[in-house]
Amino acid sequence: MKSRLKELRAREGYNQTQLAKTAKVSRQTISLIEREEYMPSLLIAVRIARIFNEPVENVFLFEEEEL
Amino acid sequence: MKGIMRFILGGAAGFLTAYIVLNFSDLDFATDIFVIALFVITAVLMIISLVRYNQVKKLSEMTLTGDEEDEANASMYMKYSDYSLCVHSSIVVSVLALSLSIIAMESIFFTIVSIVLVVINCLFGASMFRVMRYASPERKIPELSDPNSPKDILDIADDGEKDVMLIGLNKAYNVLNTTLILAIIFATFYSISNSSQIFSIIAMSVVLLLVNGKYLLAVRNK
Repeated sequence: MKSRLKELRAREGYNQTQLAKTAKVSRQTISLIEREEYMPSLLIAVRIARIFNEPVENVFLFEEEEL
Repeated sequence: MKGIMRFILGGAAGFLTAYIVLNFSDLDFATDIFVIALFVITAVLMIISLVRYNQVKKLSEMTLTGDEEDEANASMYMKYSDYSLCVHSSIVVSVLALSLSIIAMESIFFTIVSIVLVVINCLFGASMFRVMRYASPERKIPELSDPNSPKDILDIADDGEKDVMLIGLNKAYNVLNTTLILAIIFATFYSISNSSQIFSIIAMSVVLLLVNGKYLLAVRNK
């Protein structure tokens, strides 16, 4: 799974710490998602997508074979 | 290159360990030098812990924005992890020094110094919650006196952090099994020729150091 988190953060002017506070997770979790070392739960994914006003599938990108 | 260096160092460490284990009863086991070395290691770890404590405190007092804030938070997490690793290791080393002072040296001076080091290290361990509060001021870190504090610490961790902990615990579990089996084998060989428990105490301390180190380094480097 790839994510556009870094790109979207830059677009909205969030740093990891601010995004983490808004999404009610730790900065470490945001960092792990950005480094593609952790796949977030559905709840966290939806929270993050809402912060950027994007559908979940526009934030977290799956390869066809992963689905 | 890194792999080759690791291979050579691993081989050297393995040879040295095997040599000491196989010849342990024949060696002139200089307990006093060994205990003094343990004191020095404990002191070094305590100094590093103190430095890390102050660094976490200073970083938590800084007001930063943007990428600098992220970098400071990442650095604070690493320094907190270092503090935790040093304190855990220091407690084990000082307890080992105390055991050897009582059993092998029967020296009141060494025993008192060991007890003082164990007490100071326990106080450092108790300060872990305070350092955690500096590193995560927005969270409700439980009080040390709270009997449910280990469970509460787990509860306040989010899914990503729990994932990191799980990976660390899995690695530590694998190390625990391997090192405990090795410790049992070496202790068995040693017990055939000598009934002293010193070797077993050292082996248990090494296992503890390795397991703690494996877990805390896995969590630190994520």
